[in-house]
Amino acid sequence: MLVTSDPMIWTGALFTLAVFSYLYAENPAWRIAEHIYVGMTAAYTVAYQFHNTIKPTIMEDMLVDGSWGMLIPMIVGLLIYTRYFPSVSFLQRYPLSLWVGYGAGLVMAYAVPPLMTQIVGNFRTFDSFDNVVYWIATVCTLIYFFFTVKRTNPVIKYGAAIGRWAMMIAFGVSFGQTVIYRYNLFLSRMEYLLTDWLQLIEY
Amino acid sequence: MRKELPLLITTVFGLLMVFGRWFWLGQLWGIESITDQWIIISNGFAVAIGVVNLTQLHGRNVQRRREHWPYSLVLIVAMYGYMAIALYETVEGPTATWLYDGLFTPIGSAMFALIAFYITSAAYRVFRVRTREATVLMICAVITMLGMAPIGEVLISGWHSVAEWGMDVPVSAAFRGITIGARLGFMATAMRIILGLERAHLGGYGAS
Repeated sequence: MLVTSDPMIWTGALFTLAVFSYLYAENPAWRIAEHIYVGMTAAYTVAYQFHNTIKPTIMEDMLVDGSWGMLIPMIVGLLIYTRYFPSVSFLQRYPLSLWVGYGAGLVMAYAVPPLMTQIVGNFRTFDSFDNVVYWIATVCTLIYFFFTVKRTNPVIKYGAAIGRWAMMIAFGVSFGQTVIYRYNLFLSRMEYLLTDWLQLIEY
Repeated sequence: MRKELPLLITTVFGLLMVFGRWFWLGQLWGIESITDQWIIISNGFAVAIGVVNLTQLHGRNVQRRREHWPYSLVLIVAMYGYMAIALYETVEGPTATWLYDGLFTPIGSAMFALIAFYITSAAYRVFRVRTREATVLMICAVITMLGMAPIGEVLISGWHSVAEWGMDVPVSAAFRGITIGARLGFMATAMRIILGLERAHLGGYGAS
């Protein structure tokens, strides 16, 4: 038998085709796939958090270990739902403040060592063409972002121009890598259709 | 107090993170692990906001029989159906895994693969712009693509080494410059948030 009889592969293949059908035009098959994907993403997040955070917090931390202090973050998290009740919707600011404060603190606590590594990595001896190119490209890219200095000084003016070219090269390479990565994904889907589903190719 | 207290929470929590990471006493008291736990728990209890929002939006579409409402119904059925199964048997349960592998993964991969076609048309549009910067960008993109695909080495021997040099030296250098700039930007923004100068998250717009 050529085509697989596995219902899971059939489902996967038909939905892959439904998504690819969008290349022709927007159609009901694509829309169904799109809506299922959005719904499942939201549902997966809730189910995952329930089993990995909510259940252990209540069943183990609170009921078994007696860590009732966990009630505070629990209540703070739940305050986000006050946004649906206009009279108390200002309470949603509390969880948001907590998360934003945490994020800002995380940056202040952890951003310095990698930043220093990046800066130190740029101290190179000018003993090779590569090192000279590397140093010039990094410094000129940084000069490009000096918006507080007027670009009348020739060092700043030409430095920023070189920096812009260096960034164009970097963005071009980044674009090329993204294209290749997406094509790899496309080929892997084609491989799935031709090998797993239709079984036209055998390894 | 509707804005002042949240502002104070932001500042205190931001400073706590710094204290927990950089100060001996903060490390001794294990502040970092406590704050991490608080964030994980508060996030865990807040994630259903996505489900609530989707239910509100698509439920209204179905209720009022708006255009394309059957798709909204599909979304609601898929969402609550999968959620009921995954809540009952965990996301690693047999039915949940089947649905994940048979529906979620193929649709997600196909959607990302679809971008290959759009990115190609984007490349064509960049070519049509005909500025010097766009030309350099596209030449570098083509060099990289040929360097990463087997055909590049077949067409021109040593092509792969050229692409590799490009990635190791000028590209890596430019990205280092961008990274240093971005990190400094992150730190400046974080500092503004901790000092209470940035209040957009409290419902205002922009800085004070």
